[in-house]
Amino acid sequence: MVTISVSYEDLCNLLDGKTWEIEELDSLLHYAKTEIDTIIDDELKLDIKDSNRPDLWCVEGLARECRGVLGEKGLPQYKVNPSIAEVIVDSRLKNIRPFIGCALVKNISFDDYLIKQFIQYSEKKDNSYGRRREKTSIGLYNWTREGENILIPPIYYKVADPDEVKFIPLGFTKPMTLRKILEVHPKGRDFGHIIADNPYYPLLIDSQGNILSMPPIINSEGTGKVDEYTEEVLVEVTGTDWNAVNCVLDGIVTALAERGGEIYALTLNFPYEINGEKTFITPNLNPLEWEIDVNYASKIIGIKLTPEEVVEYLKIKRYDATHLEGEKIKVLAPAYRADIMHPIDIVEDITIAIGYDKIEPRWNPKMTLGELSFPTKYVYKIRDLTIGLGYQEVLTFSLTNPEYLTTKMLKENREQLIEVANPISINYSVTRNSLLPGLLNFLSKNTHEEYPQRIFEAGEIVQVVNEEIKIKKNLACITIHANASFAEIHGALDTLLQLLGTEYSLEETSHPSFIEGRTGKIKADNTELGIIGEIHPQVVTNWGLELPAAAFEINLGPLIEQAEK
Amino acid sequence: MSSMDVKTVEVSVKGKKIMDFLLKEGKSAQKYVVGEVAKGLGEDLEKLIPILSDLSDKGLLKLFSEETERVELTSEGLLYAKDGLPEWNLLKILRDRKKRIEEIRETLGKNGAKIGLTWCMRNKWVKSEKTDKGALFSITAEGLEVLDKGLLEQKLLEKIAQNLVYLSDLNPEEIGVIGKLLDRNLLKKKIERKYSLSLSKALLEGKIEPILVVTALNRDLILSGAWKKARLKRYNLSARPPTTYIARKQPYLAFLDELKVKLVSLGFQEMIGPLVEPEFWNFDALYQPQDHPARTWSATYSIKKPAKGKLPPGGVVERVKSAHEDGCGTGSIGWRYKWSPEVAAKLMLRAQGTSLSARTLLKAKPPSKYFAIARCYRPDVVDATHLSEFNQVEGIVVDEDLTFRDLLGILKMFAVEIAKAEDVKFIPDYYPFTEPSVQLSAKHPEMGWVEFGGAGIFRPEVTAPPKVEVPVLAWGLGVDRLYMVKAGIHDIRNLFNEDLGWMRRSKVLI
Repeated sequence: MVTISVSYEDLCNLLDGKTWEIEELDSLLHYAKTEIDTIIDDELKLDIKDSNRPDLWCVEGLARECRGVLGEKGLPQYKVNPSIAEVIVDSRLKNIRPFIGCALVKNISFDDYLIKQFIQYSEKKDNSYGRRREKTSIGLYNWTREGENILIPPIYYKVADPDEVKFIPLGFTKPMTLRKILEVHPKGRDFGHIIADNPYYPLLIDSQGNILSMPPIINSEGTGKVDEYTEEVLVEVTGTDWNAVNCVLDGIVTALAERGGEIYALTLNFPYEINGEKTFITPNLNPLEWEIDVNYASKIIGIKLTPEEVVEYLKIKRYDATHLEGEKIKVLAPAYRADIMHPIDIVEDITIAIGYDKIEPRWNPKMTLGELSFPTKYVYKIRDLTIGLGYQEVLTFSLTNPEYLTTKMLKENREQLIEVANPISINYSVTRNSLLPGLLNFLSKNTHEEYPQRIFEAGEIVQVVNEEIKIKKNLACITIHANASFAEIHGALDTLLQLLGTEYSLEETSHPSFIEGRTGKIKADNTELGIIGEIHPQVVTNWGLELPAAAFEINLGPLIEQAEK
Repeated sequence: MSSMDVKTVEVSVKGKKIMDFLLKEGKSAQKYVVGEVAKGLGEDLEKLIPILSDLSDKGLLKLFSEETERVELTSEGLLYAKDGLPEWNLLKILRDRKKRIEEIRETLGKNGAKIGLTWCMRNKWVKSEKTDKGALFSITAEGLEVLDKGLLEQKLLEKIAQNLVYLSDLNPEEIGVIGKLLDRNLLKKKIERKYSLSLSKALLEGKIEPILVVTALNRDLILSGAWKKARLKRYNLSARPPTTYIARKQPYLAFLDELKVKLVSLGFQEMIGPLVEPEFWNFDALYQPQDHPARTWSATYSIKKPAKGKLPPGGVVERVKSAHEDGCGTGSIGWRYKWSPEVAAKLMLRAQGTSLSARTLLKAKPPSKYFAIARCYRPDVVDATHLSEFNQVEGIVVDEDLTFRDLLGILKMFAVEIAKAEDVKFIPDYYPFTEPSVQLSAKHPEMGWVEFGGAGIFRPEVTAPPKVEVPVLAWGLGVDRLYMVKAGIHDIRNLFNEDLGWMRRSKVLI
């Protein structure tokens, strides 16, 4: 999901000039998979669900999509004027950041709002679709400003020595080397890693030696600062994916065209081949060709459609469509629709054009046998028995604090804990390898409640066995009160296992969390099921508790396996 | 004679026992010493007094008390009461023959011999004669008489050891001896309250009669038939009972249990699976490209060590690779990038329950329906509206000829059956693995319109690798808010409730 902020008045103007009721506007935006999150005065916050359609992440694109429903059907028409300049690409970029697409947009008058909109659009595209600028990043530059030519073609997309070339990055006042910019500039620190390891860094520069930017990091203060005096703007997208670069360029160029801009192409000369070619003229707004089968669409949607209907629905969603013959329909999609990978994507657009609320739900499935999984059924029985023994069921988090599993339980760190690589909080940074610490933590929060307290949890734990992750279903019970003892917890375990038909024996053992001489290994056949004993007084104290406690924890895996046989 | 004029007075089990003891030999106007009564009943005097006081209040008897002097044994006195006074022991060993000092010391000890001889010589019960071998002691006629009659000092010591002895109960001779024993530091005086009682006039005249009132029945009362003569105490029914805490299911789990029953009743089979997964099942098999933002650190918990797991055997990995790279022969152009098995093998905490559906596709045969309630993880800061682990309810329906209409049908059915929705709305939505995709909004009687689920038809790039050739409807439901409204919970952390009091006392949810 992508969230953008737009002007309500601007959106209405771009739609049809009418004043839209919020509820109706929300319904209309559903056609573009968008919902109104909040509206404060004129500011609309919009949630755009489709994370694969960057063309919708701006007010111009949303309005364009929705105008199809309002009657502006078929492909949006944009004129691309012939190429007026050349861009020359350096061969050394092939392994650094190989692709670039450019366009020139004239006759656009930027104001504060529009500049903010395009900054927002660029940032959303760079961060999400552009994978934080690794895949694509956008640059806008002054081609002419206040009647003055700022950039003189041809433009060179080349590489430069990070320690020799200097320019003033946006927002700064002094020139610095490319390497220094990566170290000092906020954008350099955020995105520098994308290029830092290369011997040369990408650079855009004009025929007069004016530096435009160091893609994908930062524009120069001189040419790369678009403001209300900008008259003609150069749009450039660099990246590592040719299709994505063009999709992003098409999206931003057509959005500028929606604001009255006139698009001029540029000629790109690559020293290496892309899809067998070296010279390209961008932007290429030629529509994408697809073919779909009316029967296929009908079968997916569940409504018998005619070719005429399909053509009509497609036009509502800004496609051009022609009925070829039989069930075949030729579909032309706007150039910015790089999200289409399969006819199913076009079928969804037909479904949206029909209107989800106009499709009658149907539910008459074939008979199937519903069933709980065997482990669930078995654990249900165990939970019932344990509750019958007087133990309150609790549910605790399976992510926990490593201290809880080690120091507080008097265990040393030796046992391998399974850490998440990217924890947000120390309290949720390892997966639990035992249920007991969670139960003790629970008890520690309830010392004001009347005793005796007896609680249990049946849940999953994670351990590493032979360097592989092993997930186990465990059961842990604990009793705490003035007279809690081994005998009591042993009685609970004994009853439970007897009723489950499991023969077991206890073998004296040592465990740091339990009292020496009052701790047993629980064994069934030759399998070790778990541990039982009186909790060590130091552990009781570590959890802020004040009464004797006794507990057991068993692995239910062998019991479930045995029962399933 | 009618029993009408006899008034019954309610007494407790203990009270009845006392009255029975006092009336054992018929009604008598005599005065009873309470100490004796206590002894007769085998009860502690202290415990008896409140009961007697109660019986006295009820008019069954009269209780008197007076301050009185009592004598008690000192530790030395106690010793002599048990082993005999030295002079008494000396008389006993001299009954049959004369003895030399050494022989006496042998039996009585040096100290005993000295005390015994002192007293016996002073009272002329023993005399000594000089011989060649030293003094020889023999009993006198007076000594023999004492031996026959018994020594009053000895008798008193033994009596005091066994009974409470009040000075007021003794004759002058005994008083005299007590005086001597006090001088010898074998006794000490103690001032205490002495209780006595007599049956009341009303009782003696037959105007009132005690009757047993029983609070708690017991085995004795039942077996002996004593309950027949007893009156069972009437209870105050408006009194609060003691609190009873029962053990129960965890309330949120109980809710999920019921949800499972519902889904099973609708023909869904439960899927289960591991909460640590290779990214393959969580993402790749669901056609989420390897550079998808959902796969980054900020959206997914990955495991530090071991960092990688095993990819499934068989051709499914190759076909998933092909789906990403070129569409796996579905007519899709795919994501068109170089797919990496290394990335797919990275271990993570399950981020979506759909990973279970992905696994299930390998074995699902149409027609079939599956569901799972899966613990999922997301690196969110935990607060009142976010958890870093939560449960997702997910499932799939696999059959020939399923359509988007069927998908809307199943969602509507869920909304009505599970959320008790009065109305539903379907809104276009986006998931990387479904097309078309839909969001379900349900109008809940209390909550109004809420997002209740998301669903879609699995993309061909998802169903082709596991070779499923029929449509697969995939759905997920957001049931947590439903439960929170039902249970009156406002903070999502309370799904994993840590308040034992709440669990003990919260009302059953119907």
